[in-house]
Amino acid sequence: MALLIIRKLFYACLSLVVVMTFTFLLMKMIPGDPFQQEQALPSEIHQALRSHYGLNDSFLKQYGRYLKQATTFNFGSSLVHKGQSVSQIIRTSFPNSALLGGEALALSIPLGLLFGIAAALKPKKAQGSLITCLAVLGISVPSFILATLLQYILGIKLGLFPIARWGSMMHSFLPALSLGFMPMAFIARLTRTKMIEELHQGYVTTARAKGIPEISIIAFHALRNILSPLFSFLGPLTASILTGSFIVEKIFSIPGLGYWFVSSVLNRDYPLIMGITVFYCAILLLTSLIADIACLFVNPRLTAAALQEREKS
Amino acid sequence: MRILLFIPLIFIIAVSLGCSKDSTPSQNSPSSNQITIATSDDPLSLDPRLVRDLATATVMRMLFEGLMRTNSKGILEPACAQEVAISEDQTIFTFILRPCMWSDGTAVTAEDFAETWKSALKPDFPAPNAYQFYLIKGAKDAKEGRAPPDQIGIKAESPNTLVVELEQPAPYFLELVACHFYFPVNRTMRLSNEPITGNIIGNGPFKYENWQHRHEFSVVKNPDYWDAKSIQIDKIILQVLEEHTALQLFKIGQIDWTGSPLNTLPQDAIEILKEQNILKVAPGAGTHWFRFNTERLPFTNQKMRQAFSLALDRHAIVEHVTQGNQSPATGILPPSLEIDNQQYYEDHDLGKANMLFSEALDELGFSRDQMTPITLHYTANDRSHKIAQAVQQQWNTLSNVPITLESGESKVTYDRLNRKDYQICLGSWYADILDPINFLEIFKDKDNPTNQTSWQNETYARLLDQSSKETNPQKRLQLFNAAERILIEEMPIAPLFYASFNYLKKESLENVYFSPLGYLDFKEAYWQPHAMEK
Repeated sequence: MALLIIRKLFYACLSLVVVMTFTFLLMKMIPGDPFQQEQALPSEIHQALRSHYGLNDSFLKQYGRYLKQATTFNFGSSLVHKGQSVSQIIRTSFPNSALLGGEALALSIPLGLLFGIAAALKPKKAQGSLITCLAVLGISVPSFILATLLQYILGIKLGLFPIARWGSMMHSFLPALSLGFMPMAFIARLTRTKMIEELHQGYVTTARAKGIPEISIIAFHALRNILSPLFSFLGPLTASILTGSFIVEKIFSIPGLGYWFVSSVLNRDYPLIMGITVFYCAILLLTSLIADIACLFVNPRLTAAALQEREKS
Repeated sequence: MRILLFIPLIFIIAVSLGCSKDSTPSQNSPSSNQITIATSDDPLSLDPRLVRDLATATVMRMLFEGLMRTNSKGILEPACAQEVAISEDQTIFTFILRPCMWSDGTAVTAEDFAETWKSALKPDFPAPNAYQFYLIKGAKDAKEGRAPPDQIGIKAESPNTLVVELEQPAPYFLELVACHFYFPVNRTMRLSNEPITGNIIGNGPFKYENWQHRHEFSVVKNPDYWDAKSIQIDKIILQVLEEHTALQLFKIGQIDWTGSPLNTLPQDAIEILKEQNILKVAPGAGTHWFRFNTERLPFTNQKMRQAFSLALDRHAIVEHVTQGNQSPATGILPPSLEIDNQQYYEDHDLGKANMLFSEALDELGFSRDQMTPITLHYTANDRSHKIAQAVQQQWNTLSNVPITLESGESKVTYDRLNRKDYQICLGSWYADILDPINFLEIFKDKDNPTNQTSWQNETYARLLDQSSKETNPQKRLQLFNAAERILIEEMPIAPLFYASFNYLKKESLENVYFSPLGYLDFKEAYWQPHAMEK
């Protein structure tokens, strides 16, 4: 297993370099630069700005510089928010996104599992149909609609929660719910399908024949088998939720990473684009790695070879 | 596994605990003497030399003060300078500084001004507004590395005497020194290699208090300010809020100001806010217009440009599309420049437009069927999109030529505009100073990067050259009017409407100066006594 982890780490680093290269190429291909505006600057001032920030250097020199900066994770300062370093921006905004994402996950994983199991136990009854309906709704309704709706009803009309901003746990409830609803619905649906399959397996019938209580069969036998497909989904989900959602953060005015990711591209803030992409990519690779390792732990039958097989498929 | 089941429970308990801790966020206490404003972004820099956006210009006016300042009535008056002496030929300005302090307790000197300005003119210093100093003798040469900084016409003759020598007479120089890019930067910060962030040393009516990035920026009254007795507001808080959220928070009284210039109002809400009688409108020194690329067919032809301009129904656009109390533009220079505005043409003069269109086709040697579709470029936002759609219909009635709309992300559109790769582009110009020259000099030279129309005219350029030597304000204005007339006749741009700023503020907040240049000044602001309903 150690060998597998090392190999995975190696591939992760390789992916990071590939992502960086593509990001750099794409970033340089899109028209415009950070200092371009409708009220254009005199050309000598524009050129002075470009050369001050090293944008007039050769393509390869700039690429080399970015690679070097990536190894130390020091991408310099933002070209738009002057005086703020990229690492400082990530350091201050990521904890907010991570906290919000963590809350969204803390809501969506257990509730998703609970609803999924509940639906699987009585798939043909009202309980199962209702949960399935809600899950389909949860997957289809975009988070910004839900966020606006929750903000309007629970925040403005009923006054139960703050409308927006960041500070206390109360502030984070509505955004966490908006952000966590879709994954919760997805997990519920996934759990339901897999659980129905598992409950028809022979080992479940055997366990029931032995008189093991239903709750133990589900919690200790069946659930363990459905966790592995769930973990594969949870890896990328965790990464995307932790690194911030632009829409939900914008609606609730949360100082998270999502805003920076989008605005850096709109502003052509090159160091910030690179910094956030590398950071996002690192988190994505790390969570995928953790999810894979977790899969091995919950299901020892799933050997390294099987894991690779699964990856290929 | 059972632990998993408890997580939602733990979460709910945590939320309820949080509830008791802070259930009414940022609700001002009734007795507080502070202002809370919605902003769409953080200040982009705390160094006045690096600032180019309007929102940060407002923050600069809180933290710093220049030689002159515009008061709440819109009148320019001495600020850091106590007296100003202007030579007869209007090229030498002598400023006598009043005793005033930095927020660290040291004195503001003439050297602070001289050295700050010279530092912005260093060839490698990234000051986007350095060209605003080019009026000063030797400044352009210094910025371009052709002359040493000691040849710049800025001299600190004594700790409180600053002498500035200009290349040409400029009656608007006092306007210019009131702008944020002419503000002084403290010696400690000037000499530091570290970027200016966080707890900065200023000389303005307010001083830095706290900054939680993308969340909240606050300033408090500066007790060391020379005119501290006239500052009535204790604290100003800028909260980063999305426009719809800001509007909701304004409605429930949690913020005191939203909309321009630090944020925007949702375009869809403007009509309702107007009906509710709470929408405030301030005139802006800006004109929205269509640029024609005069090197691209069919707009190489003057009559074609005129036809397209006259076919516009500007009244319909301001009444039904923008709805923000803008006024239709029948000239280039906005009324907020306080000059005698002239109506150079009739709005929506379809008869004349059709006639000009036919003549233009004859001159170009085209028949109506030979006209290829015309593309209108604009930046992708709600308002521009609505304007473009309305104008598409209006122009269709003129020519039956299909008008293709092409919206682009702002940087992509600006890039296209600056490469002059367009036929018609929707845009605007907002003045840096309240003087007509700021608008007219855009079109003086086709190589000027701000003149993306490729248009130039010798007579026009000569009139502007004459105006730069003219010291008599009346004669100067006449020259500007003559130049504007040429611009309107040649029509490299089709003016659409004069800018206005839409905003919401609490009624009891008084005396905030909303400059037509698009910044706010809170120096003289106060809450009406007995009206602390905030």
